[in-house]
Order: sequence, then structure tokens, then C-alpha cells
Amino acid sequence: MSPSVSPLTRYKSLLHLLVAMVLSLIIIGSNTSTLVVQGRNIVLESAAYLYVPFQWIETIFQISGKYNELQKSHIKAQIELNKYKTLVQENQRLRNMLGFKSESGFSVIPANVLSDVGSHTMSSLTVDQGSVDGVEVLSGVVDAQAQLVGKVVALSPTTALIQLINDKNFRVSVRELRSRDVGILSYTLSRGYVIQDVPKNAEVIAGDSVVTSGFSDIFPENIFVGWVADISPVIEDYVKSVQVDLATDFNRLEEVFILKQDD
Amino acid sequence: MIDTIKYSVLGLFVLIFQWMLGDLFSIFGVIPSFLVIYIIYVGLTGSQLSAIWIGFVMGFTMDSLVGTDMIGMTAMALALTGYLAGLFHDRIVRVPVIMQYLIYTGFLLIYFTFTVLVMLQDSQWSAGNIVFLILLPKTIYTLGLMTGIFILLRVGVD
Repeated sequence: MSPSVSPLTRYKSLLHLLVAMVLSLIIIGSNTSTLVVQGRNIVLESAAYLYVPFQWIETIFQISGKYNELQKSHIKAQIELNKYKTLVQENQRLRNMLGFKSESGFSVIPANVLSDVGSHTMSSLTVDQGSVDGVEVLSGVVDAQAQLVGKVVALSPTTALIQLINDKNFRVSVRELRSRDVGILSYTLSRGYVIQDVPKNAEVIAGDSVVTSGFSDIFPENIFVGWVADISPVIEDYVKSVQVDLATDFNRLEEVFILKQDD
Repeated sequence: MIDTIKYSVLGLFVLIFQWMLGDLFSIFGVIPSFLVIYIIYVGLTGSQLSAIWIGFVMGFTMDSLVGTDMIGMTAMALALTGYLAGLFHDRIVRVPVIMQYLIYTGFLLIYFTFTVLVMLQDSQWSAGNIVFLILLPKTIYTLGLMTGIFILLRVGVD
């Protein structure tokens, strides 16, 4: 005869599963609550420490080569800057003459990439600058060539989580530089990165540059996004969709720059 | 107790491996999940309770690290997979090999169905695309890796 077992013991595992499931559902339902955000921050902060030794090793091996590269690019940039300063002054003078409002300014916060994660849920990376460094949620992020990288979606005091532009859920308002047509760039499974609903008469051709439109508070205008790869009419031929090749090389991102809107 | 600590520490390494090096295993953008392989392993060789709670903690941590909008989804999926794997604890050796791999495929399908659902928030993705371009490739790739790992570790062998 088998000894009698209480239902609690018999269904112990099932009860544990139920508790875990209920906890998960509570967490899913309260993703923006302080407790969950704090939990996420603790995880992000702890994970950032894991990268410290890797960064030391990387820094030791790469610092000399990087310094030489930086010196070269600094000289080049200085020459370019002088040229652009003249153009900006001229542009400002002309804008004043035409009565344009001054554009809102952005400053940048340099940040080192701690990790990049491509998962089935989100493409993101973690950087070593957080809320104490002045980073804010929904700040835009660019790379060293001022090409669009993504936006900050979560913050801890010393780290920030950046949703990359190649994430499936990322949307950004862009402008085709030559024709000046505006659209929303998003990812589609069948055709990759696409600007949807571009007017049929828009004079877009393959190879044209695509930049941010500046229609949001997140990204200033004219941040380089990529190039037009292909144009195809969509159903009913009222609008066409423009396929875009992204400029940013996400495999080689080591430093990024977080845009901070000047007060 | 010692087993639970052992599995937790090993789980931490698997989590770090998935987080830091998971991308290296990407084929055409399909990244396998070492977390689910580990949780199935814990369920089959360790205790069912360890599988549930290690899965829950690993899932929550991974959700926090990747920055998904639905923190807790992977935690729920891994806890459920751990429970299901635990049902076959010590019994899996008596199951024919073909059936074993069918059962593993079922575990993976359940896990990926839960986690890939997060992507449905993007309305442009049809259910067919999600199943054939994400869910099935991920399942097949992860199953392939799991087969290799389980053969090496002699899981499911008497």
C-alpha cells in the first residue's frame, strides 16, 4: 500500500511553477514600475562590472594604435571644421536674412560600448554612461562618424541601454537628402530597412543619401542614416517604398556618442 | 542544496556566455538560445524546482540585459520549460532516442513561441513570417546545438 502523500507535496512543483508564472505576469504587467526598473538597473550595473577587465585588456592593446589614428583624423577633422565654420557662418547669415528661427543645439556625451546583444526580442547595446553623467531616456545616439546608431531606452546611474536602429521595432523619421522627401524608416521582414509611403512623384534614386528629418525631439536633423538601395512601387501605385542600406557598422562599434539637448 | 548552488553558478556562466558571445553563433541573424538548452539540461538531470527557479532568474536577467519592452516574458518561458523538462527527470533514459528529440523539439517550440511573441507588437509581421522566418529556424538551430551538447554530456543515455 502506498503511503498517503499530501496534495501540497504531490503538486509541489506545479505550485512552484504557478508562483513563477504569476510573478512573471506581474513583472510583465508592471514593466515601468519603480521596482522592476530598479531590478533592471541592478542587473545592468552588475553586468557592467563584468566588462571592466575586458576593457582594461582591450585598452592596453589598442591605445597606442588608436592614439595615432586619432591624431591623423584630428588633423583632417580640424581642416574640415575650419571649412565648415566658414560655411556655418555664411549659412547663419543667410538664414538670418530669411528670418529663420535658430536651430536647437545638441551636445554629445562620449560612451564606451560595454556589450551588444542581438536577440529575438531586441537589438541593443549597453554603454558606460548613465543618468549621473547626464544621459536621459530617449536621447539619440550616433557613432564616431556621426551616423545614426539608436536611442537610449533604459538607464541606470552608470550605464545606459541603447535600442539600435537595426532593431525590428525601431522607427525614425528620415529625409531623402536630394529630393527632400520625408518618410518613416522601419524594418520589414521581407525587404529590410524601408521608408514607407513615399509619394509616387518623389524623385528618389538609388545611391541617394538618407538623413534624419529632425521632426522629433530625439534626433537633430541631418544625421546620416544610410543610402537608398532600391525603389519599388507598392500596391495600387499611389506611393512607393524606398529600401535603405544602413551606414552604421554595428559589428565595429566601440564608442558611441549620446546626444544631449542643450537647455 | 549543493546541486542547486552548482546549477546556479553554472547557469550564471551560461547566461554570461549567451549575453557576451551569443552573437558569434548567429547564422543569417538567427541566434540560438543556450539558456533554454541549459534549463532543459537542469530539468532532466537536476531537480524540477531548480529548473523552474533558475529558469525564472536567468530569464528575468536576460530580459533586463537585452532591454525588451516585456521584462518577464523570457522568465516565464524558461520557468515553464524547466517545469516540463523536470517532468522527464530520470525518466528520459527510458524513452526511445527519436522520442527524446521530439520531446526536446516540443520544449524548444514552447519556449520560442512564448519569447518570439514579444515581436508581435510590431504589426507589420504576419504570423506566417514569425513562424517560418524566426521561430522554426531558431528551434532547428538550437535543437542542432542541443543535440551535440547532449551527446557530449551523455544526457538521455542510461
